[in-house]
Amino acid sequence: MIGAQDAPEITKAAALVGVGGVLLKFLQWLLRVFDARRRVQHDDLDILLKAQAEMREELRKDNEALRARVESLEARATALEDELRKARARVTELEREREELIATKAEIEADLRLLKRTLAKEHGTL
Amino acid sequence: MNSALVRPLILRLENVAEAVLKTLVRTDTTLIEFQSSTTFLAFAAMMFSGEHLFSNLPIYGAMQRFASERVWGLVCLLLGGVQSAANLYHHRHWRRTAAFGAACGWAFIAILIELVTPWTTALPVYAGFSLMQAIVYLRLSIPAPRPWVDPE
Repeated sequence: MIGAQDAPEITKAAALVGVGGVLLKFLQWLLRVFDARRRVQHDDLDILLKAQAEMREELRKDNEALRARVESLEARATALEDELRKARARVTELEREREELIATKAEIEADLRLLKRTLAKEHGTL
Repeated sequence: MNSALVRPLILRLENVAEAVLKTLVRTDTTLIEFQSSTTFLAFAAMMFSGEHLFSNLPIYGAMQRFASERVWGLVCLLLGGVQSAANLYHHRHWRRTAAFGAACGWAFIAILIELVTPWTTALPVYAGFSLMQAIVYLRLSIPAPRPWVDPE
């Protein structure tokens, strides 16, 4: 080994490499600072995304519950419509029976009147 | 200073830094490390194989005046060996350290070539090697890679 005094280029190159190394370390520090800042933003974004996902899940459950409630109400409404239709049919039937009964009553009254008249005639003849 | 003028500039710089960081995070460095370590090991093998490499190439004259070929061969073996082992065992800290050493090593050769024989085609080659190792070093300086989430 001879030494640096015999090779000034080596000394110059080593010095420049040293400066370059320091610059590289500075760049590394800068990058790490920026990355740390980005990570904080990333964490915030994670929290927001998580909250959004939770909210979406809650809304989905609420939506499902409401949909089930609507379906139940629709089924109840259909059942009530059926009952109403049956009740109306029954009312129609009862009205028909009532009219028949009124007609029968009128016939019976007419028969009674005829019978009374007949009886009165027979008693009159007796 | 007027913040209305400075703020867009800072935002622009932040966007550039974000793009650089994004590119770095998505870059795989293994092949670049392999190239550097094997080249250093090949240099070491050539320097150990005979005492005539430096005399054949005038650009290494300055290196020969400073130390013998075997000493430089030993340095190359150390740089290449450490980088190879670190790459092989996926040791992040040593990979980063070896990349820093390799960046300095290639830069040293590039600067020396420029000082001894200015403006040869060897300059961009070795400068490129050095730059790639610097990128590897910066890439490995970002702790624990995690999936990138685009803010948009």
